[in-house]
Amino acid sequence: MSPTLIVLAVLTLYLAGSLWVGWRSWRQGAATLDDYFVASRRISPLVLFCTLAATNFSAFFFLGFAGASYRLGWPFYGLMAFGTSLVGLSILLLGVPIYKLGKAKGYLTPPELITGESGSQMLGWLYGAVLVIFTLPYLAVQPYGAGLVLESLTDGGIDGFHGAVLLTGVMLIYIWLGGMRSSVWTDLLQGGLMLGLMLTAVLVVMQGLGGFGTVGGDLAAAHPQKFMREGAVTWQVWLSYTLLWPMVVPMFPQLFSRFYIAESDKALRTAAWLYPTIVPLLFLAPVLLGVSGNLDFPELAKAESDSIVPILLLEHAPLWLAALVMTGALAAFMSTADSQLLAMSSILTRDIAASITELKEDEQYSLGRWLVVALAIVGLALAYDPPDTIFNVVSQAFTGLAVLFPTTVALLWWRHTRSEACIASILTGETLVAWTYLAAQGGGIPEWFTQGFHPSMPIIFLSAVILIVGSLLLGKDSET
Amino acid sequence: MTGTERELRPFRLPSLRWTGIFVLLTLLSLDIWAWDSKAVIGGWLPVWVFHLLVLQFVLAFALWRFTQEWKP
Repeated sequence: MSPTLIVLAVLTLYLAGSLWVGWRSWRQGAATLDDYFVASRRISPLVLFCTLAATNFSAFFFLGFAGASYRLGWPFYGLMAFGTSLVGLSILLLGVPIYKLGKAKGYLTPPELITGESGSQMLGWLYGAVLVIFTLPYLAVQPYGAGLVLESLTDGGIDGFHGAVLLTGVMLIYIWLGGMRSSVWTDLLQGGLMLGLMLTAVLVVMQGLGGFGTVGGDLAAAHPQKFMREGAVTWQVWLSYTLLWPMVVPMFPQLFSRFYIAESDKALRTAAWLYPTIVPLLFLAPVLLGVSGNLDFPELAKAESDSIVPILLLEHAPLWLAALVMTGALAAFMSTADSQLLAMSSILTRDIAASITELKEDEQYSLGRWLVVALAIVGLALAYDPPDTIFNVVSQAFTGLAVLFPTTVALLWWRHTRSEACIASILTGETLVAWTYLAAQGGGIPEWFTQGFHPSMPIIFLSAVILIVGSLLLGKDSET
Repeated sequence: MTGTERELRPFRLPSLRWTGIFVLLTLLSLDIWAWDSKAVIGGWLPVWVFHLLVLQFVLAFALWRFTQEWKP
């Protein structure tokens, strides 16, 4: 059997499984707006945790994560792990309030909650616009990652872009049918595959390289800097990422929307402590693979290193096993991309179309499904020629979305919050995001601004200060 | 709007103790006093990674306890 046929056989099985799960979920649901966008708010604790994790861990987890670990070494674990574990705290402190408000007032999208709780349609639109603008480039990462996998596995036999079109097509079918319900249940299949196959990859590659002890010894001799934080990363950057993840992850519209789907707040409480229980061990896998890649392939360029997992598998595993394991990356791509499509479709349907027209619920349901198709095409178009490596593409979106964090927290937790101050906070933050992006392209972001931290930190800090000071000043004005 | 809906916001933490615990765990994760550590466990796992692993499990336990106490 030719290599391409083996990959196609594995791929066909996986895609058929996803379609079957998606179809079954659709059959169990109802053709209503509430079921399409929030699965009738009936998702149980363990399923909720699985869908949150599968949605959060994207193609970047399978590919970019190992690629960055290849380049930076073990310090990349430090940049990602503790901050991602702190997402559990965000699930609790943001997720539970969002769930309660959503259930009490019928919110289906993030901007609906912002509009409803602030009383400002302008703030809701601004919030929604930021979500859509910064999720589109993030969405482009997913098919790009899938394309890398297929090209590596078939040695260029399957063009990456056409493979991405195929995967997106399958995803569209089950999302078109069952919306959030299909997304959640396919997440279970995809998340399970992603986890199981990533661990298989570690075991296969480690065995191929001579075992953990041998790999460690060889690496320590040849690349001792890969074990050390000193020289690789500063404590300021380390702290920046630790704080960034719990702030930005709940701002992803696909994660925020999932806070609405819980059957009870117990589901969110369970997901909150399960997150830091699973993440520490799960994150070891891609880091181990990436760092170990330096032994066999010490001179990979930055873009090539994003394919270090398929490269290692092709070196140390039979093709059928490599194809099977890399199906996990495809699962990671689909579990995140379908949720992003659905979240963005819901925003455009509910917060734009329904707020300026008299659309009935069944018309919104129909529009939401068509928007999923349109957004998938836009995502593929962006993925056709992404501007830089995976990590750089995504990093622009992270800071842009994190600017929404102060507004979200303030509306839930602070009674003095004023919508005008929230608007000023978001506009200032996004202006600074644009400025730092342009500065980075030119001579670099000035040190006086970052003070050694990731640029997102001063941007979020200034956004929060403007929100607090503005709310207090406006509050005083309204009292006099 | 019902009284219950009006009372939903703003949400409140049960006590400042929990804020202190989560801030302390975050600061401990920096591990700045052993930043230049080269020690490894079992020949492959850096000690500072093991330190982070332990802290994350402590965080999980703290969150579990917190969920028992905080019920808005």
